[in-house]
Amino acid sequence: MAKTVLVVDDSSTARKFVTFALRAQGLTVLTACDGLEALEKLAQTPVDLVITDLNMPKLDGIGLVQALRADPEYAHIPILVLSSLEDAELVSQSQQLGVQAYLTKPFDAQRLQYEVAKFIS
Amino acid sequence: MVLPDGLTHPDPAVRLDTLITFLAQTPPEAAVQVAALCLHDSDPGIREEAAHYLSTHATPEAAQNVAPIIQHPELPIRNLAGELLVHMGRPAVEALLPFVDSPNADVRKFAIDVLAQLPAQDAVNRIAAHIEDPDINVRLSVIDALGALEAKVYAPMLRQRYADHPRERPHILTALGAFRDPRDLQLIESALNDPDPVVRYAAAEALARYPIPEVLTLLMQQLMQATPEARPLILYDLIEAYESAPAPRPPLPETLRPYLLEMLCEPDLEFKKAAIRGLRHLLDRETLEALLEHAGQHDELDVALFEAVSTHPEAFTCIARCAANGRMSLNAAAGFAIALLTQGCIDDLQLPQAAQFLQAHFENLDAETKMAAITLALQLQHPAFNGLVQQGLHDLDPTIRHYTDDVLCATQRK
Amino acid sequence: MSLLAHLALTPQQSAFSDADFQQLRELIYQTTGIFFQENKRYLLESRVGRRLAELKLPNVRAYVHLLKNGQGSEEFRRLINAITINETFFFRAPAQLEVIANHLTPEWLQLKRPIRIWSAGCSSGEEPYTIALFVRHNLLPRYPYLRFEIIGTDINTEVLQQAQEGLYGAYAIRSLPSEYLQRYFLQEGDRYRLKPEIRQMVQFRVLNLVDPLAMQAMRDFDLIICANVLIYFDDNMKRRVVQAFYRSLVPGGYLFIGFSETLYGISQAFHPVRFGKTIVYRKELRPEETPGN
Repeated sequence: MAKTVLVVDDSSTARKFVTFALRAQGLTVLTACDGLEALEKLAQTPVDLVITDLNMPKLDGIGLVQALRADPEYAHIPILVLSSLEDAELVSQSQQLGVQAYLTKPFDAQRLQYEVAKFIS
Repeated sequence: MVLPDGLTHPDPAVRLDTLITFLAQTPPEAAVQVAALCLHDSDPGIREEAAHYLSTHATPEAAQNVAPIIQHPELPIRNLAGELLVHMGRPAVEALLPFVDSPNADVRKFAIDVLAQLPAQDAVNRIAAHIEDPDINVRLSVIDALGALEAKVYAPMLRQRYADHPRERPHILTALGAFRDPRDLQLIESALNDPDPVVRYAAAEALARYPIPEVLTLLMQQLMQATPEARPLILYDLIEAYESAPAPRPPLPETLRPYLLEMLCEPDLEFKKAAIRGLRHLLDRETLEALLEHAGQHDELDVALFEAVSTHPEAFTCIARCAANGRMSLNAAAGFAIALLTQGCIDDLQLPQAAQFLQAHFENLDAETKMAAITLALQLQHPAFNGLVQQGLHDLDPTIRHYTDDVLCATQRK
Repeated sequence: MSLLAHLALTPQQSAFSDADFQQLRELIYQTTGIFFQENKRYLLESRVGRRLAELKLPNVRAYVHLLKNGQGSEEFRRLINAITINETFFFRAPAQLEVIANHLTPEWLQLKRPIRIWSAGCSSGEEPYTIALFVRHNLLPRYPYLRFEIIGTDINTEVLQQAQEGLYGAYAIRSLPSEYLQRYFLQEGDRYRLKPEIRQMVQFRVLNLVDPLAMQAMRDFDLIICANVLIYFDDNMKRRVVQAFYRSLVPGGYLFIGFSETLYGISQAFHPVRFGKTIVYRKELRPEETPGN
């Protein structure tokens, strides 16, 4: 069974394009449109990696990362942040929360695939 | 502006009580300002109460008070403001427009994204003016917005940008797909062979929005070239295109069956539903039973599955068989059988068998299904269901006994 | 909406006109928050139809008139009793008990005050009594100084009466582990009476979840359980009830809803917390109460 990535972004084009890149790479992809939906989907389906935006309604990316890191079952899932925000404080906060990488939008398909491959064998 | 004392109290419970009372007693003109201030509160219950008030009193003044909050330094508060503005609808458009020209690129992008969701058709030109914005993410948001707002007049502009702006290509293709202009077809088709997979799949998706026969051939080609995990993407587009193609439609190729069956096992619900819709056109007994195996997991899926199988003459036989060999839960099987009977999909010859099936499994069904079975039995008024009604009258669950009794009385009163 | 809910399942010849149904539905909605979807019309009609016959009233309009005027409240109570369906039994949600034992109890042990639990929409009492049984059997032997106040509320007075009496049939106890049945119930013919030591652990009250004043009086709860109740409300009423629950909880308090239910789209004020495949909701702790402060 292929490895599974959860892609979390409130923009439908962003979700789509990341999905395209990852599926071309041979990964199965689940999507969620905000942090709350992400947590609900995660409870039903285990994933090997989470890629999340930061700016999202209901529960933003930082809130999602905090929730994941606080849950023993999700604490070790690699997380990549993929955001258009280049805020130094957000980058630092993400690092402190144990995010594996902070990538800025727009993403380059090859670069993304490379980063993902580092955390999924 | 003077805030009521309770709203600055250190205890959030006091602040929330104060806010609720204040909003109930104050006319909206004065209340919206206070509510907007409470969007900054540290307590999520207070923020939510304030947001609800503003969304249900969505005046231009309210929107004017909320829009500036998209600049707030804290992420959750900016996002709450953005979400709220989408709920507020039309009044939010005027309030947001000035922020499209903000010196801060993040704010410009956010404003454009919200305007696209509203949707703010009359802001199209203001948004399009930022197509040469120095920030790439703003430019991409502009293109996404033009697509979302179906601003077809900008198709030539986007087509022209395609060659010189490689990073914008997937977004341009998606927008062109929304416009469905025949003049864009050549560009989209040529993008099907782009080395970048994101461009290829964006092109396939855009192509599927065009209602012409060649689309199916092109997508089939794409399907054959795709990795196994990428196949569901193309299949999804293919099914969409197939179902919106005008009659008469050629039959769906047999070669798709194994791929669709594979797609049925995808965790993503939308892909599962698309697979079901596809297999509907390739329905034989084996495929029917493979579909039924997925019943009882999810409400939306059940509806899609039922729509796919209901017209097949062997639908009930397959359901009964799947229930017998454990491929389908009893409750799901009974639910489907009831649905078939309700829609008149079971002929007179099979009707007694269906009644017998429900009767045999009645005591193992959940309350909702039992009640549906009883209602159906009394709706059909067929002697084959008398046994079922009797079971309802003597069921261990008092709710079912009372319900059966009530409906029987109602039927007999007429 | 389930497949069954999509079907146009009504007994032949709907007894009421569309206008009748709308009128009744609106009255019930405004008073109780319960929203009768089109596919549940048959349920409302069968129950009300029976009542019309019993009262010898000519039509629905006469019935609505009765409900609205002076003598209406008694009949309204009876109507509510007739239309609120309550599928409940002991130990219906063992996962909830596990969460209480393994995750909530350790927190509660730090509080050094009685733990207040509210079963909202408790029907004939199986849910709050299940909590009481579990507490008595598993928690109190280990932590004798723990105190609990368990309150069960419902809008239906008949089922609350049953709850007070604590007498149950075979259907209600079908999932009850045998050691509980043996130790805490007395057989009376073909029924089972809950022993006083358990009955005393739960207080029952009438409460309408959409009555703002009544809801405001429910305060300082550590746990609210509202399972398979919100499904009868539309989104607007769900939002109101959940907001009231937020106010009724202490900071750090928990809200449990039904396994297949979600607060998504209803409220984002709570933090979702996962236990196994279940998501429960927690009200934010006050900053000074956060561990490590």
